[in-house]
Amino acid sequence: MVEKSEAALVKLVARKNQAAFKKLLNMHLSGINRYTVRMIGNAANAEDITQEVFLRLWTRADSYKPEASKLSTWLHNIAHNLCIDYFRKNNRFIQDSSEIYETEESLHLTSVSGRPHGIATSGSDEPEHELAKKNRDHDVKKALMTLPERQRSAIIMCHYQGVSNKDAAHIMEVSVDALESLLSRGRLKLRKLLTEDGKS
Amino acid sequence: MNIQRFKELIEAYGTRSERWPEADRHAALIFLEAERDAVEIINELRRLDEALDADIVAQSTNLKADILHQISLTTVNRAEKNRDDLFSKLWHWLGPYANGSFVIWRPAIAACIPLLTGVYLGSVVETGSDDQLFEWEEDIYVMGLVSENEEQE
Repeated sequence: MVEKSEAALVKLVARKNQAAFKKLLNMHLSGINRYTVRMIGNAANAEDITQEVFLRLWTRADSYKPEASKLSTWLHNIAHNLCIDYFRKNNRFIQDSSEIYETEESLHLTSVSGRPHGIATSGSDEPEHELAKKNRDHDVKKALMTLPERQRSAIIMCHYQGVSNKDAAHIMEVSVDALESLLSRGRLKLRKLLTEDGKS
Repeated sequence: MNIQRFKELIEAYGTRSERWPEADRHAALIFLEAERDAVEIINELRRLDEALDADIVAQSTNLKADILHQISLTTVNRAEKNRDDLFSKLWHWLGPYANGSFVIWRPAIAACIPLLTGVYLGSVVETGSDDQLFEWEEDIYVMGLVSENEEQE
């Protein structure tokens, strides 16, 4: 039902209907942005990619085939390819750890040396606990960024985005078995990284 | 489902059953209820899922507005591009080279357009009539004769 109405909205977008575009934007923006932020590790660059994803929805809506994939899968496919292009252009897959701090949330917590030192509590009674949580969040982000981009993409899609294994395999142009292999290797590396630090 | 497949499943998709593939979920849940080893695998690997779940991405407040602004710009640019395309198509059509061959009749037609337009306008649009012009000339001639006669008298 949702897919049918989405397909109808995409048809309207192909005819340059801004109201339909706005509805689809409301439905998918946060999900796609979460994917790009986790993939790129830098909020500003990730937002550029998210913008490009939705510009493509606007300009190429007529190329979307609802019988072939869900809109969410189509958008993730575009986002994934743009992220891969970004890494190729920038010739790197390991994010400079200093950039990982560049989120609106963490700017309040980061000292000049780059290590979190204070806490902007919002009524919390347990600042130490809150700080420990922030540190752990940062460690997870950092650990994710050390993964090769394909393993990272597989984990983000299957763990965070709720993309099915078949759709994720389709997006990454691999078999489901190959996807499972990417996921297993990625998760094993994450487990080692996070356990070595003693934070997980 | 066996312990090997169950382990593969957990290592790939994590310990939360809602993330397991639909095709395996039911069998894996039954296996989990029946096998103690399966529960141990889950307990061993649960901490990674908890750590991953703790990671939150802050949402930008301006992103939606930026995208809507971008698409309105794209719409304006597209309209301008379409207009430019129309002019450039017309220009190319009028040029003597089309599809790699020399076509003389198109520029010839282009050159004749002002001539044909002039002929058409000349035949259709009314300028002042010749009779009116003649009447003026006659008046001037009569006035001239009158003044000449007056001088002679």
